[in-house]
Amino acid sequence: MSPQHMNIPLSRRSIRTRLAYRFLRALKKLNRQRTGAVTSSTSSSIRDTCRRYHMVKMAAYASMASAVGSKRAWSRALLSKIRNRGLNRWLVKRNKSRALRGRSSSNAVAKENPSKGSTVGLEEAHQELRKLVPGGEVMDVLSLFDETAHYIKCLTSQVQIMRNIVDFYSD
Amino acid sequence: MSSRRSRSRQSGASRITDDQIADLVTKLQQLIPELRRRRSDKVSASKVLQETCNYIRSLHREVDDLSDRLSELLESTDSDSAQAAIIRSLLM
Repeated sequence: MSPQHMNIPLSRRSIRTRLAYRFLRALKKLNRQRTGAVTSSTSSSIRDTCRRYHMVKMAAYASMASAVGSKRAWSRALLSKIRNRGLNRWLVKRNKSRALRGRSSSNAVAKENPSKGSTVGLEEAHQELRKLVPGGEVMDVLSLFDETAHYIKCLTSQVQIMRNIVDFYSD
Repeated sequence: MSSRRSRSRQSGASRITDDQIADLVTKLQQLIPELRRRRSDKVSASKVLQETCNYIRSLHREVDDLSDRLSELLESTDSDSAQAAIIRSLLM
């Protein structure tokens, strides 16, 4: 493609391009950090692996949030969590809620009350959704749905980009 | 929690209409691959919400899994030229 493509300002390119660009920049930074400290890599390699995995994951969410910027409530919530160093806490809390959901959903199935079951399911699903979407706890219902839709769109693009990179690397 | 919701529907300045909720539910439905295949009228709101939660959770799991593989791959390759090639191929 012609180099004119690169002269378009960043904000006007598609979301996928922006996501890809930021994520790759974050990965490059990570890589440079790693090659800088490669001499001390033999000891405590398990901890290093965990830390690297964690840093890549944080880079993925951080680059996704910064590519969207402040236009969306979920990205604003993510960015503020990153700045307050609370992203780790949110990731852990989210995973914990996932484990609890498995247990409670089996109880709900056992109740089998058709008239009440649907509203209970709705309420539960609402709460789950609030925990899953960053910043979801303080939103009203309409914006929660709206933010969820956009969040899903960006997450899908991010996952595609990461898959492309992994496939490319592992040829 | 549900009482608060019904109260806001009856009184209050910003009334949430059922149409708005239905609109957003259809929008969500289009994004979720499982529900897109079925014809839209028959899927209830609670099913859409539950599928949304499951879908987001599976996406999070994929991000975790992919970042795990990526971190392993980052360790094994050193060349900067590989990354430059990736950047070029993805952005152009």
